[in-house]
Amino acid sequence: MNFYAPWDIRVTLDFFLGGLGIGAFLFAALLSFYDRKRYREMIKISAYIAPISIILGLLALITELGKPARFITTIFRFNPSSVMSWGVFLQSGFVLFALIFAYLIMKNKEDSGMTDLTLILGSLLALAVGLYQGLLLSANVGRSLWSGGLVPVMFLFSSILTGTAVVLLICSLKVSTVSNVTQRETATVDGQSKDFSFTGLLFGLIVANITIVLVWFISLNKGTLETQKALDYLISNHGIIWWGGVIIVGLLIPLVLVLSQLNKRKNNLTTTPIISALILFGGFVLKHIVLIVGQVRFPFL
Amino acid sequence: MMKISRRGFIKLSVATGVAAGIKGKPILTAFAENSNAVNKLAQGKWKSTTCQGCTTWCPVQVYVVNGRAIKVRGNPNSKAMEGKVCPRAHMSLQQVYDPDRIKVPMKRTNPKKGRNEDPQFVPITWDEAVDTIAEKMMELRKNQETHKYVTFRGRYTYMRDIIYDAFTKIYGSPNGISHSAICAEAEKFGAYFTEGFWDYRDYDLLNTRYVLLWGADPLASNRQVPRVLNVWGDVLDRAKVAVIDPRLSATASKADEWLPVVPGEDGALALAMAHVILVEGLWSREFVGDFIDVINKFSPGVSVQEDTFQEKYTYGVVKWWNMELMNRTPEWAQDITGVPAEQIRRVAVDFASNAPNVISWLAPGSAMQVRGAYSAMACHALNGLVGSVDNKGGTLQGMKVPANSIPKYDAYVDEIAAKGKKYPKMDQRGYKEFPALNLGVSGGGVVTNRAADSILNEDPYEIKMAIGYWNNFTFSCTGASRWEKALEKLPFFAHITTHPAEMTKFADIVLPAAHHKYERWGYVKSKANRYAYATMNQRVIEPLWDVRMDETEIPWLIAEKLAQKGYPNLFNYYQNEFQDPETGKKPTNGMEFTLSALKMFTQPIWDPALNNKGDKFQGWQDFQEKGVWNSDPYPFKEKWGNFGTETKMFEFYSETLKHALEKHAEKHTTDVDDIMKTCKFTVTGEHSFIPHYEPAFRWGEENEYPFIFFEHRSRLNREARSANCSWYQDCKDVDPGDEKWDDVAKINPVDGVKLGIKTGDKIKLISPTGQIECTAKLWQGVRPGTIGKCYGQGHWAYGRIAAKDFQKMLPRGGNNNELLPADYDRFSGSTARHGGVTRIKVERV
Amino acid sequence: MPNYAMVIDLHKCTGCGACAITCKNENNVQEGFFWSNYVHKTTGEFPNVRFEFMPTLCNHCEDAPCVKACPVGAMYKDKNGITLHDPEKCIGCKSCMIADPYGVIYFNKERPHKFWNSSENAIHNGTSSGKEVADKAGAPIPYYNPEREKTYAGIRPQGIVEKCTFCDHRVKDGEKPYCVESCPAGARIFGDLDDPHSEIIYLISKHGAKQLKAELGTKPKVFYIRSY
Repeated sequence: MNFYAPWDIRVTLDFFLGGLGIGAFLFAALLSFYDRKRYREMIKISAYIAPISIILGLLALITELGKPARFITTIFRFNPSSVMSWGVFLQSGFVLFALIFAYLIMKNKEDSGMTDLTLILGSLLALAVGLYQGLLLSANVGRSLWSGGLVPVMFLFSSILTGTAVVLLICSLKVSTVSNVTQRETATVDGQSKDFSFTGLLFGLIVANITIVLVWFISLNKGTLETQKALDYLISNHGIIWWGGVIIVGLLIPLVLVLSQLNKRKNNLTTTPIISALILFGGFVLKHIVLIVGQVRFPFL
Repeated sequence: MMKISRRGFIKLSVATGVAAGIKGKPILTAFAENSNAVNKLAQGKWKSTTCQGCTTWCPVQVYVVNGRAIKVRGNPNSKAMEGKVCPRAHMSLQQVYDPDRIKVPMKRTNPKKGRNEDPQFVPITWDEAVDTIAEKMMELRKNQETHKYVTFRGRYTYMRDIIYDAFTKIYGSPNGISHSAICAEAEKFGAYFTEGFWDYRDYDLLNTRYVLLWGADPLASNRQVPRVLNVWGDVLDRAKVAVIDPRLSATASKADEWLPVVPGEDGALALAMAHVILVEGLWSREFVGDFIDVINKFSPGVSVQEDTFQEKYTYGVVKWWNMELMNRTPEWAQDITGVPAEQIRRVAVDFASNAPNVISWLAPGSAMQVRGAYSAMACHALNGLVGSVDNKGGTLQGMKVPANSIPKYDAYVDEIAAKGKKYPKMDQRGYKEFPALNLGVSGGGVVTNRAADSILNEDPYEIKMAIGYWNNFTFSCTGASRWEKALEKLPFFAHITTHPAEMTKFADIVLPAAHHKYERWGYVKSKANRYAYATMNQRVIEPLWDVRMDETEIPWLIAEKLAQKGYPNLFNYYQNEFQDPETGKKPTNGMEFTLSALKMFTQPIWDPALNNKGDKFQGWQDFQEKGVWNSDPYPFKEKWGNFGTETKMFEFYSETLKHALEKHAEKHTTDVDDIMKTCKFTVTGEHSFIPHYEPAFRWGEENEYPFIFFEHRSRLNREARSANCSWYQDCKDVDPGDEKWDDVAKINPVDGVKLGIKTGDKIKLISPTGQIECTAKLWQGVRPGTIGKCYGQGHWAYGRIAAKDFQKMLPRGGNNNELLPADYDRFSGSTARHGGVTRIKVERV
Repeated sequence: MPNYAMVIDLHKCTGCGACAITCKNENNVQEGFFWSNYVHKTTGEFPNVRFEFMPTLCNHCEDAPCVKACPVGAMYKDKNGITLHDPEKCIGCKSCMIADPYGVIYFNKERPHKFWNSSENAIHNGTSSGKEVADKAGAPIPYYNPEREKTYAGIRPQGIVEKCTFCDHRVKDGEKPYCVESCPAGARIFGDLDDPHSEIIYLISKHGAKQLKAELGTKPKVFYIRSY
């Protein structure tokens, strides 16, 4: 079936990069409230990734507009019924807080009360932006692949997972940090906070993602005729990339690797970047397929 | 989709976005509620003219704003079309403004001619172009070879006689060769040899109760499209519709019955229906008469005593029964036609039960076949059996349109011309194998498509020069490659054309023609809805380019040149005989000549002193503004007992045909049986004079060419001139089964599986005489074993949209006429393009 | 204020495509775009085959999802119930196209009417180019309809969307939409849904009507009566 998808890969980029941004921010918030001294380096990386990533995503989105220069008008022509209209404010708000946080970190003011407030408000906005992405799709009537409330949750989960993964990936590239992290993970140091289990976090997030993706997939299977048609289209046209790319490469292999890491309870310098890279790939493909296939239209007759 | 009731309308208070008026650029004006300043933009005028996109010839009006034509509508003054036009009419805007129109006269600079030769045309002046043509014509005169000149006419207006007749004859050639026989002469044959009427019929759709369509798709084509589109919903409410067509046509898609006949076997179907009508006693007592004892003796397989039946307005019904019909049962027809006997019986009974307000509507699909003459007679004879001919709700002839013919020109024909025009016409009409019995006269009609062979074989003589206008025989004639060869051989060819057509590619001189609907003057006659009419072609916009009118201005220019070169007769004729009927002024240029001629021809219509029938006008100006003259409505039953046949009756046994065939046989000193055989028919003796069964004739053996090929028309075709319009390509899928911007061969999915071909595959269709490439479309709307394809695509010239690559001469799809062999319904001279004339094989590319 | 709506009588519709063609004519719609469009399908097996044709256009929904989705209010409902689009406000985000369940909104990805801006020709000096014809005719496209400018961009520029406006420029002057005017079968009837005496109300109550994807709750105002 030939069809014209009004929204192309630039919208996926916005979803994906924006997702990395909010994921990284939430990760930073988590670590900050856990032990901001000990994980200072990681928090710093997260704090920088968050605004850069979401701004890049927004730029991708703006290039997708037919009239990019008119982007600014979205601010004063607010339409309360438009999800995208809300999204502009949510994303702008998040960008603002992400920038403030990055600034505070840069200026080594992570201990100020200002930082906590920024983190709390920023996290709330991050969650809102994360849900907004899916809502932008699921708010549309007659788009059966997107309908129901699952797509926003799925996208949010994916954002958190990929955001976490991107931070871990970058940290892991700085070998010292990573070895530091992974070494400490298994050690118990008295007097200090218990080591943060990154592998455990990843495990939890991956399991959550697998769960929501499967629930979504099953819900489609049980949907209306139209929904099943959409699903058939997805499987027959993108089946390999869906099962292979999103499910196996993007979720199951990382899960297995994470499990093996949890099992061995020892250093594994090589798997973390691989896990992270696979997760990022899977997350991107997931959002892209859902975006593109959801735009397929079936004839009325 | 969901059913809703009126209660379902829940009104919603609507949030209104109030748009601010923004001062915009002219093309980008923002919202403005009826500001007067903006309203002034579109002050225009509806001007009357005529659409000749197809053969319907609709009275139309064009909306002209600042000298630009921007819209088209039906002329509200037309009683035939009641102000409606079909989609074609609008598309003509893209024709008249087509950038691919020829804008100046051109000459060929590459002396080599051929399909793959770029003619390397260069622009020249009108003077040089006309001078070159006149020079060639004088050369022929000098050598006493004027008969070796031909005027090839295509689509025309009734100004035609100025170029087709007078120009050709006064110059000295018999060869005015029209396109008519590639159009539809075969269907006229059916009406002529039953009711003595050589023309298209009209139909009383308002009062009809059953429409039986023989290869006719009136929602899409064939001679009164807007009328049919307009009333079809009502017709369907009142009447049943049955469509006989190998393809699920536009009309079939809305019909009660679809009879997907095996192509070419329409005649068998009609005969079986006639059989049923007689056996069931459903013939018209009022029209046909009855058995003297009123007891029906028509029983299958049983012959009837002729003197037991008393006929009223018909002739030979019992002969027809005894010689042919008594064994033509639906069961017999079932195997031949592929239509179940039960359906044949049902349709025949339904049709006849609703008689006489029924129509057996014969169209080229069932007539333009190698043996189509007798199918045409059989289909039309059904109207005779049920008394629907010339009857309310039935099939009608037409009212006369009062118009003058051209002034006599005998006095202007000099000795050389007289000698030249005495030669037989070059298209082999009247040859033993080409009776072309127009009006029953041997050689009375044209055999258009034979002209190519005539040129190639120099039979009856060599042709040295031709002028063609509004035609494209290289594209529109079956066996198209013969025309390519013929034009390669023709030493000098001038083409008067709007577009660089396939035929233009072989021209030595190209003359840009005025578009018939927007840029020229003329008039045509036609009929529908019981009204005959005359409608004028008018120059409603000033042409963008230096174009001239094909039938009047260009002959005038050539006549002027001929006079300068020493042969003034033609010019004198034009100047002396075509004086303005209002002012008495002699024309001094082509435009004045055109207008004088038009006024003269139509004077009986617009001159209040002369016109006493139909619409009345105050004068020329009034007629021009209204644009159309309507006759009085056609009266019913007046032809009964006064048909134009030998017997004055509706003939089931055609004395008229007998007479015509005997005369033709006599001319060739042989007998009718020999003529029948020569013309590819299978019967002998008296069978030749009745509508009888002839098996479909096909080229190619089934084992090598497993599929029967048939073609059909597009509802968007402006006679294959609209393929260069983007609207045509954008909407090509309004033809059921077709695709946008493509040319598809429609194949039944069952055959698709066998061939391993799926929709979208590029395929090659191969007949014994040619091959084309196109796209496969698996579609249930065609019979397994047949492949159907629309005519109109496959241009390798004509323009940059029509052709896939104009510069490289690559076609978009393939032209059916390159696949179809040149064969004929020889009795009418008609090209046999229908009836599955050829078998084909299919290969993947 | 009237609440405009359209009835399409599928029994009268002959599938000729005049609506699609004349809409392009009236609204200066470029190649490949169909404000007035159609769908068709063939079902069954030979010889029991059915071909159906259904003209489509913007449904001017009472609860228009495209209006809801537009982040800048460029897509809006007019007082008379017509769904309109403001080309000056449109940012080209295509949210309306995503929201529109009927596929009736088109996006001008490139400069419109490329054909009429092109300087290519078939025969050098013997035929003209799109641009040459347009210039000579004195309009952006030679059969350009200036009336379209009364209420909308005469030709919609690159970067924004466009769609059917129920010919609001004609309707405001008391004319019918051009597809209604030019339908040779009289299959399209335009009128006021709030006027109990209107022909469309009569036809809907007489025959019952179907709306496209009515289950989505968009309250489409194009009503289909009878069947093809």
